[in-house]
Amino acid sequence: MASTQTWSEGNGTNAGTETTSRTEANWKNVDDSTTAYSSSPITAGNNSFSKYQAIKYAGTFNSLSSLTYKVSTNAPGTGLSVVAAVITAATPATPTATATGDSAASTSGTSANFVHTSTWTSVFAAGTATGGPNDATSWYGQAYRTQLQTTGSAAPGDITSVTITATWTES
Amino acid sequence: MSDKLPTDTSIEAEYEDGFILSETEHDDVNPFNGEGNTFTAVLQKLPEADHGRMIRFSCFWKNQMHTIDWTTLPDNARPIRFRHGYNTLYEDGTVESGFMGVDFGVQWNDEQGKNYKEISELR
Repeated sequence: MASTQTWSEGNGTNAGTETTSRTEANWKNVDDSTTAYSSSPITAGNNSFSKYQAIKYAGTFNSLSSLTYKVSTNAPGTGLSVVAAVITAATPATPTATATGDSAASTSGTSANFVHTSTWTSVFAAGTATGGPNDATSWYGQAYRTQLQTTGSAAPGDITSVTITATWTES
Repeated sequence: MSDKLPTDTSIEAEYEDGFILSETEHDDVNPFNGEGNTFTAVLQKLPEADHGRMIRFSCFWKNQMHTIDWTTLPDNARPIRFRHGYNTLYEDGTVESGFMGVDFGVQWNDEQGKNYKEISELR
């Protein structure tokens, strides 16, 4: 079995409402986990709402360590950039379309800690560099905030695919 | 012996009385106390009370079994198995996940406390 993983997303005030096992991850002009991106498109010159995501572990493992998050590209086209940060604040900013101030998302990996909690809002915490073993309480990676930022030169239509990857070591 | 093919990165441990603890057979569950996974049972030496000292520690990767003869090692030898995982989320919700490789080996201390470690990086 080893570990199994799903992705959770935080929405609403202080990103404090969790949607588990996300099956869609588009940036869009709304803060929710339900609206189709085509119904809330980002217009050129504006930003997406910031998006808070975290990897969540289940299955069996003895330990977890060396977690990183990365994106496949942080410049998916003319006038487009992806910024990101691992969130360590206990009370993160509520998702909005205002620029987050985060740096360009890493394509090689940004380190993150693990958080042992059954409460989503506790994912916004310092965490620990190692985690495990699995038990009745979930192990999460710290939350990862991303935002798609655009300039007026961004072309209309779907952008090139951008993926988010978590990497880790487990025993 | 399990009738399942060993999964990549899985481990297997053999003990003095011939008992074999197979991660694949137990679906990576710790069959002794449920804590952690099968490797936890090996680390905590849980089979040794009934089956004697571990004599072989193996790891599977790409249809190959890699084995350490544990009979040549001191009592304080500890097995090492670190698997390197990834999980990629696409915007449409598609997920790709798996292991990129596994580090397999052993570490021990000599009588002066010096630490020794031998690891194979299987990729």
